[in-house]
Amino acid sequence: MRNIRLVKLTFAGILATISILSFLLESLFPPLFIPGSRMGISNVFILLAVLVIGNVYGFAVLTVKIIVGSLFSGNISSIMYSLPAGLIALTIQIMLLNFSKRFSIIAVSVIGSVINTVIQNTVFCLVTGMTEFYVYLPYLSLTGILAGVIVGFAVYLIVKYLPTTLLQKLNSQDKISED
Amino acid sequence: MNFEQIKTSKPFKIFDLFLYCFVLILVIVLFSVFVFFPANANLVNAGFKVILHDKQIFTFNYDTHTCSLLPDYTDFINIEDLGEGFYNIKIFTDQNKTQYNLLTVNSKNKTVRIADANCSISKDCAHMKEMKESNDLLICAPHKLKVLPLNIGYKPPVTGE
Repeated sequence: MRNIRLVKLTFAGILATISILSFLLESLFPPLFIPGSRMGISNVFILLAVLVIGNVYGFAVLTVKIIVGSLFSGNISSIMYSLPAGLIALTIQIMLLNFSKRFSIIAVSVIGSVINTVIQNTVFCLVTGMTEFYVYLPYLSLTGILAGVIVGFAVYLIVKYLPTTLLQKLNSQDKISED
Repeated sequence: MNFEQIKTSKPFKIFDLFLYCFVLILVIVLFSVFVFFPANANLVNAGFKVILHDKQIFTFNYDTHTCSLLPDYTDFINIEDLGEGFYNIKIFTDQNKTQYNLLTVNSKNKTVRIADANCSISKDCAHMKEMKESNDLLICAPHKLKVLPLNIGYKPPVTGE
């Protein structure tokens, strides 16, 4: 008997790896218009984890991505403001997805992106004492909207065109047996 | 919502407007800070000051080409005169002199920018636009370094006859 949990865990590991790699790759490119702004492509895989294998795996992928990504990028202190912002934004996204089915994934992604930006900037200014950085927040929120739209569209297209049988297997709660 | 609902749903739903309105209001509130706290256009940008770990360690005057350093930091700041008003200022931000930020000063145009740093692989500080106006700033968060304008002097507003 093959335990579906093992399959989900493996898939979560793959998503976490791709998320970390895309985060590091993005770090090598210049920021988008504003210092500190990124497309956030790594968030595509976090949202995918939430939609395909479950909320807990989504949180796990997010946490692993932030911690390992910060370690490899050489900016360990960014964990202090990235982790709470990411957790709060993902929680709000999951609440919007689960408690109301009337919002599209793109709108949820935009909300998550903007909230993540605002919280991250606020916590950064409070922790480092560099309140001058607040002046970038309005512009960062605009790039956050753009990033949210792109991430949302990417997730929408991936889920739309991935084979249903694959997604059903990952989403199944039952154990499956080998023949 | 799970993936099956997303497969059959459209990319835009009418209730998304509520979320987009919330985002729009949030952005307007954030930008309103610039309305209530506008920059002082009458300040004269005479130079810049470097603040490291909340301590002002260095100042530079564009007109006189003079600088002042904290005595404890003389070994941590290297100034290279490139001629014609251009300077490279390398600031070591840790005790072991392994972490640095390189400032490029153009005293003719009264600008300064962070040309290089080894803070992280993204080097966000090196991509900031040069500091020219009296309300610009440069920040390197990993090194806790700030470069702020040294607004000395005050130009009176132009009045009509």
